[in-house]
Amino acid sequence: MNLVAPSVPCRRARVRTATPLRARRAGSGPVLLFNGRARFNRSTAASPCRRLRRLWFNTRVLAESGRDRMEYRELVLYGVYTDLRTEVARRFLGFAWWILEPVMYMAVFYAVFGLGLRQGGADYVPFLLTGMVAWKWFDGSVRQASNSILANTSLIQQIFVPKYVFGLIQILTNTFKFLLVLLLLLGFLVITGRRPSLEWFSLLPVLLVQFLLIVSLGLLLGAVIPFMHDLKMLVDNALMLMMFMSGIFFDAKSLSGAASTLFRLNPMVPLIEAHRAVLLHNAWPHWGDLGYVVLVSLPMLAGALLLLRYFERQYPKLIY
Amino acid sequence: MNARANRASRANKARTKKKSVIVEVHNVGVCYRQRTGVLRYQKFWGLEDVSFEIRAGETLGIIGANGAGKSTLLRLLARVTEPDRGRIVWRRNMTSSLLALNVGFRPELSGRNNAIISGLLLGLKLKEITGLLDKIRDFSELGDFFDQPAGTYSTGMRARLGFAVAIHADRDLLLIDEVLGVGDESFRLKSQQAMREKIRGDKTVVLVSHSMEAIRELCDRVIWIDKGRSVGSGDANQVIEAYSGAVREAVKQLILEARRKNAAAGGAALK
Repeated sequence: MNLVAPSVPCRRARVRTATPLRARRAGSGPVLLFNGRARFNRSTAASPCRRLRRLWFNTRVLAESGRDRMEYRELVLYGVYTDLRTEVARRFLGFAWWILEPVMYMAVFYAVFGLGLRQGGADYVPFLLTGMVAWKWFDGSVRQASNSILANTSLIQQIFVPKYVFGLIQILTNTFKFLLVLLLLLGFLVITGRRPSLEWFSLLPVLLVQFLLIVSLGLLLGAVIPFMHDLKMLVDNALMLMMFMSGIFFDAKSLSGAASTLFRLNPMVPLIEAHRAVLLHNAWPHWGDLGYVVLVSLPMLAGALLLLRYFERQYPKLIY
Repeated sequence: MNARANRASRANKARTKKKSVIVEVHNVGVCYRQRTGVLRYQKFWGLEDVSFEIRAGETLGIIGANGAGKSTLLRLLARVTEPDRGRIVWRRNMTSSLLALNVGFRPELSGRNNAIISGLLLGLKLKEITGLLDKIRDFSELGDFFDQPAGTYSTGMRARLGFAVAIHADRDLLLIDEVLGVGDESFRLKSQQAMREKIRGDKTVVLVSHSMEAIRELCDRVIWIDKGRSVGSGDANQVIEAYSGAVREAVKQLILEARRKNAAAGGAALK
């Protein structure tokens, strides 16, 4: 037995020569398992400079992460499936709650704003419902995605899973439930006398844009919150403020001047307007406004993915 | 005597088989952030300076006192975290995973579903894991319970399910943290048997345990970690002896210290 000094230079020289310069320059972490000629991958000291280099200069990282994503697709989909199954198994009424819960939620707001404050006219119920359904999808998804890393602490500390997986599972689970409610809403609208037209198909791009916004904001918040748990308090209240400032309970068009401009910075405003234009007025959505939402979302999404990738292996140390 | 001869022959075999290095750990340190107040943090090096290497097919034991950094080291080897200094060199396309029982466990779902979740988390494809389900059911001895909600299982049954999945997910490097005492006597024997098969086969295993018995029996080589530093490495018996000696010495010191304090206190009281 050799009682060694703390630093054992175990065969370092051999490794140096065995590793091509190109691979060494890439400073590849354990995720980069593709250096064709290199015999070894190395996870080096995670200095910020080195990790940034790893992010920007190794284009194959992106290709690899694309393949990564495919590999984890099954995990995401099965995660969504088990989430839904769990909810059904846990409750006495099973999946009836996927419909009952939003109906009750919306009934509360109808009672307050429709009956109590006597907002709107005859058409207030469909007006409110359309806005609430779209909002609830956004709110539920972002809330849960922002908490997703913290909610899986023990898992994250034992097994390596890309952290976006957790946020995506939450978002997709919520999206599934939203689609059920949306079907219900469409049925309600048809029964109360709206007629489907060609324009209703444009709901699809509207939904896609909203999905993009949800994923971007959800993942971004999920990536940042493990660093500052305080932010969670902020997010809860910011979402509530946003709900009242998204034109769900009143028409955003009734505002004017500077207030209106400020108001319209909120990406949920054009989205909810688009929902209403399509479903209530059989009109095309305002494409320019949807473009604005995409423009807001993309930088957030890029930021979220970069953050998640950069700190991928730091999160297990941050949370406990 | 017999056991010693066995070990000697195993060591000989190891030497002649020429094992290639699959993981090299060079002067690795891990730093945690500790909150000390509002907006104040303090660095804490959970692992300071550890170096060793893992060769293909061997079973490496890690021993050390509580808080020495053994679990932190396992997390590094599972690639859950990265070192903050030093470096780890991996053989290409190597997979490693912690034998983590019941992560992502859903008590509402059946054992079958839970096995699939664990398998996917360990990096298997859905097809692979569904192909393994029968084997997993047989190994875990759950029988009809396999399709019952896992929440109705006893603790031992859960552990058996977790162990069955982990042992069937074929990783190049298996990391085990003190879980040899899974389930009842018969299952413990069986799991040790499975472990030994892994060890005899091409699998590389890193084992963290406080049970010197287990380490002595299963490991070819042992690393001794003290306060975040690798202090010794080598043949299992020798390192364990050195470690036990150090522990005995430390305990002796503690007792002496206590006596001295007592004596001083007694003296003060007499005055």
